[in-house]
Amino acid sequence: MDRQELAVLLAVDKLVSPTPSQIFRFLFDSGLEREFDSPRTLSRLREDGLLEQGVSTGITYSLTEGGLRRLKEGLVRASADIQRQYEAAANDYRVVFEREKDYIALYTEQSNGIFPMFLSIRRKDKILMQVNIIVQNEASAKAIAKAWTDRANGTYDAVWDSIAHGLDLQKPEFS
Amino acid sequence: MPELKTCSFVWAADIPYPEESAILPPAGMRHIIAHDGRKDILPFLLDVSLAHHGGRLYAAWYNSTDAEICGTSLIRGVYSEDGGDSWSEPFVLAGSFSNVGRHCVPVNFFPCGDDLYALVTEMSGRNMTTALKLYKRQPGGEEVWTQISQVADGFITNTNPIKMDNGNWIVGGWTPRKNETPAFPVALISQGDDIAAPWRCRFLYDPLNPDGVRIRCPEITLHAQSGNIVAYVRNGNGDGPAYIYESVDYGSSWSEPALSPMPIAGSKMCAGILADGRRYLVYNAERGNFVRTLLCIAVAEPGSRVFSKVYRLFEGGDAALGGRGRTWFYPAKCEFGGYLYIGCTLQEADNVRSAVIAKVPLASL
Repeated sequence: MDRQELAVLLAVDKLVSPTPSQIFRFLFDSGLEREFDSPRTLSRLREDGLLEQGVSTGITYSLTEGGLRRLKEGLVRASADIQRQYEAAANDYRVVFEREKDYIALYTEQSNGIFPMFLSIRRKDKILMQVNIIVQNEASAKAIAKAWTDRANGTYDAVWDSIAHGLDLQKPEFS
Repeated sequence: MPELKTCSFVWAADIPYPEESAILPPAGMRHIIAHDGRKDILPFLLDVSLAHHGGRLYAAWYNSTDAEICGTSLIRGVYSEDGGDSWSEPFVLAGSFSNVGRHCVPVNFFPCGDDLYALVTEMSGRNMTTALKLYKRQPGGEEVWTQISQVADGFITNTNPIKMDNGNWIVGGWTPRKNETPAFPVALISQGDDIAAPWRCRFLYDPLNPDGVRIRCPEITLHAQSGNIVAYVRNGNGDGPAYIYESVDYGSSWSEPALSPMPIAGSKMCAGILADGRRYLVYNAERGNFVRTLLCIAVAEPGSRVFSKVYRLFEGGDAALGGRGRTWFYPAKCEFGGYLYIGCTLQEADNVRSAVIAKVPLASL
C-alpha cells in the first residue's frame, strides 16, 4: 500500500461516512497531504474491496473489514507523528462538517443547461430560510455552494432586514 | 468514457430489425384515454403507472400545478372497473395542492399479499430527490392511501417492483445529479415481503470512477427471472443506444455495460414478462434527440430473452382518439384478463398532456 492509499483509508476512518469532497478537503485543504489524483485512488480502493459506497445526499465511503485490516497493517509501518496529525485535523474537520449540515447548498443540472440551486439554513429539524436560485453555469454553482456556509447568516440578516424594515417586528430566534 | 460492446443478446442476431414502415400495430389493439388533460385544471402530467387490483384497473401519474415540478406536484389516479371502458374521477394518492415546494414525483404500483402498494419519490425541487416512500391503499371502496414508511434515500423509480423467486422485491432506481455527484442508476432490493423496511441499494457501477460511464438521466427498467436480472438503462446523453447491464445474483452485482443493438430513443423504457413467459420491452423508437413520436413494443419467444418481433403502439395523430396525438412517451404496463395494457403520456401540439392506454390482446403479440 502506498502513501496515497493509506491517506485515503485513514481519512475515511477518521471521518464518519465522508463524501469524496469531504475526503479531499480533509486531506488537501488541511495540508496533511500534497494534492494527488484522489478520485482514482478512491476508485481503486473500492475495486479492491477496501472501501464500500453508500448513499446519503451524495455518495459516501466507509471501510470494509478488509479495508480496516489493511489500514491497521499500514499504520504499523507509519510514524506515530502522522497518526497524531490526522487525529488532530479530524477533530477540527468533524466540527466543520457537522456545522455544514445546517447550511445546505445543493445544485443540479437541467437538460437546458441551467443550474438550479437550493440553499437553506436549518436549525435542528426546522428550516430557517430557503433560497431557490437559478445560475447559468457550473462554475457559479460551485462557487456559491462553497461559500454558502460562511455567507448564509449574512444572507439571512440581509433578507430579514429588507422584508421587515420599518415593520417593528421581532426577528425569529431558532435554538 | 470506455468503449462499449454491443449487447450479444436483446435482439435476435439472425433477424434484421424491421424498417419503421414494416412495424405494424398488434391486431385488435384499442386506444383509450384514461385521464383527459383537456378536462383538467393541471397542465403538467407525466410518468403513468398501471396496476390491476381488487377488480380495478388503476392508472396514476404525477401532476405539477405549474410547469414540470414547479409549484407543487402530487400523485393522482383513476380506476376502471370495466377493463378501461370507463374511468372514475381522479383521486389524490400522495401530496397536496397546498404544499407548495413539495413534490411527489413519480408513482409506481405493486401488489403485495392482499394489498396494493405504491412507491412514491419526494423532491424538494426539480431533481432534488429527498426520499423514496411506501404508500398503501386502505381496504374498502374509497381510494384512501396512507404513507407507511421511507424505504430508501432519494431515488426515483420509473417502473413497478418485481417479486424475485428468492422472495425479495427488486426495482430499478436512479438519482439525479447533485453537486459533484453525477446521476447514477441502482437496483433497490427489499427484505423479502417486509416491504416497509429499508430496501438495500446495489450500484450498477461506480458513478465516481474517473474512467467510468456517465449517464445524465439513467432511467432504468428490469427483467427478472430466477437470479438473472437484465437492466435496460436510458442513454440520457442524447440519442445514443440504451445501456444493458446483467446480474446473475439477484441484483447484488452487475456486469460491465453493453449497448443495445435496437434503435431505442433516449427516453424511459418499460420491461415486462407476460404470464406465458414472453419478455417484452416498450420503448420509443430512435428518431432524434427528444423526438418521442413512435412508441413500440418488442416481444421475445417464450423462455427467450432475445426479442424477435416489434409492434407499433402509438404514433402521430390517432384516429381512434379523434386525431389527437403527437408525442407518446414514458410507458407503463399491466397484464390481466387476456390483455396487456400499455399506459403512456400523450403530449399534444399545444402541450396538453393526458394519460392514455393501448389495450392489446395477448393473442395478437
